[in-house]
Amino acid sequence: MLARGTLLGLALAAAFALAAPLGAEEIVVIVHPERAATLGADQLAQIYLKQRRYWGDGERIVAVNLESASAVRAAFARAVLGQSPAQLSVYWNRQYFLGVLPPATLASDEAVKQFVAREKRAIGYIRASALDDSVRVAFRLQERSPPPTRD
Amino acid sequence: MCELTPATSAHPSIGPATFSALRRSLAGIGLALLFGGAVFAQEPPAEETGRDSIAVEPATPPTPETQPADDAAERVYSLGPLEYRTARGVRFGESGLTIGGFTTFEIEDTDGEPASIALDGLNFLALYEPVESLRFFAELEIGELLSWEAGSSGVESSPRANFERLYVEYSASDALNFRAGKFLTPFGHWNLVPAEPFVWTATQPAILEIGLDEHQTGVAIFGSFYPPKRVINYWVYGQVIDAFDVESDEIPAERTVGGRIEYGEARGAWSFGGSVLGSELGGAWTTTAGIDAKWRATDRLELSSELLVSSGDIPGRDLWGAFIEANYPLDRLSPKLAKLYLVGRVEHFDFATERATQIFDFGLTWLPAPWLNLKAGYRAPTHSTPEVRAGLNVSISVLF
Repeated sequence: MLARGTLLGLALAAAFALAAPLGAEEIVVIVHPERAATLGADQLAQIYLKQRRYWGDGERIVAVNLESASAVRAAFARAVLGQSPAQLSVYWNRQYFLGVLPPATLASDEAVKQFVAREKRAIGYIRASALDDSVRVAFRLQERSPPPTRD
Repeated sequence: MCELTPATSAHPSIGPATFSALRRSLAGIGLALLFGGAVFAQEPPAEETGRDSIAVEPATPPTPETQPADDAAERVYSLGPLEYRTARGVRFGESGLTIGGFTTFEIEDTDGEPASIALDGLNFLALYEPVESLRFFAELEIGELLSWEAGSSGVESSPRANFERLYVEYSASDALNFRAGKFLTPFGHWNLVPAEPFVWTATQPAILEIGLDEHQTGVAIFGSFYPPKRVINYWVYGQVIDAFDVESDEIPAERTVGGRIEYGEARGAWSFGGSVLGSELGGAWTTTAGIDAKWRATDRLELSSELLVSSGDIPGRDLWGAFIEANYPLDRLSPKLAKLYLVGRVEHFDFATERATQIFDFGLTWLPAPWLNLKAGYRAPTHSTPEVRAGLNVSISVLF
């Protein structure tokens, strides 16, 4: 019988592989350098599902997405939000009925980085290779070897 | 493979439901809410002050589009300050106003009724957010637009307009939000989003259609708390004025007081909820209580269930029922069945003046694009009643 950790590892590996042909590229979640945010995966998901709307200091969170066709976005959504694109589409349709629209979009890693660097309330995600000192990393989606399988 | 790793140590900072009974329950919920803020502290990613608005700097750094994408099939059309996104409405520049909506075309062929085809509703959604913490929301339905019945001489049209929802909302924090106006009764999870394009079946559970006032006209306080790995949502509400813009076939309660609490996994993979509602009509009171649950597995089966019990002095409101509903994506069986879902619901409905009925709804739902929803289902009750008829129901919904 496969161990639970093995199953989780395989699931995450499959999700990442299916979601985006990113190779070994790491995705980082970035915030304004002055924001001392410590984020968990659940917090991140809630922010990007528009269920959590405020930073701890009471400021409104301004989350930005990459464009819908972005492989980085697909990988991010699959890994962080825990829902398939089809499930997300249903989710956002229901939110639309409630008057809630998804996070705004920017066209590229550079655009996201520039926006987060100047907007203190912002949060975004980019490829690690696009990272510089203008923003602070609040979360990493790291590449790691899958754990060994066993019967 | 990809693993989620917080960049720093990352964990939510947390410390740890007869009318009199209803009132006690609500008082308990109220107290819990009052003190909840202290118990369930918000996870504070940061403590700081910031700017109140997004500065749009004309030259370089890009400003995010205020209407976003959520699906690869999305299309964007711009005309001057107007920007339309498929299934997300049209945004009027930077005014904070977005207008969209949906419409549903229905075909019904049920026992004891002539087959019919109808363009049953054109619903407009309007959202206006002049400032971040304040928003105005309206859903205007133009109903009975066009209909044709088998054996009739022609197409009938008797359009009528009514506000399905009309409210203003003030948001103080994730934990504390205020709403005033006409809104959907926050009871169970179905009634939160009951409209045709957003549900999985072409029919709605009988227990909710018959046993629950769909709307409230009054005030509500609601919000969320975030224990580690979990989320707690709450609603406390009441109808404090006469129901607004009531449809001709409705006899809504005159005054109500209710509450709901929901506990779930942080990303919505599962949840459990409990709801109570006290309703007064002509001096008589009825208490309605319910529990509900949802479970979702990525790319796989989704299950939802609700149980509702209603008892009291208002005529016709002694009833109870429960249902469990499932949907399953068929592309797991074959890629050719992409975006096609097998859906089913089994319901027990016990109406005081009728025999108890078991209702079986089965069908297919096809979601070829985010803006299009096609459903075909067959309802098979153990015996038909005026409210619950066996037969075929088909709907085609378009979001715009």
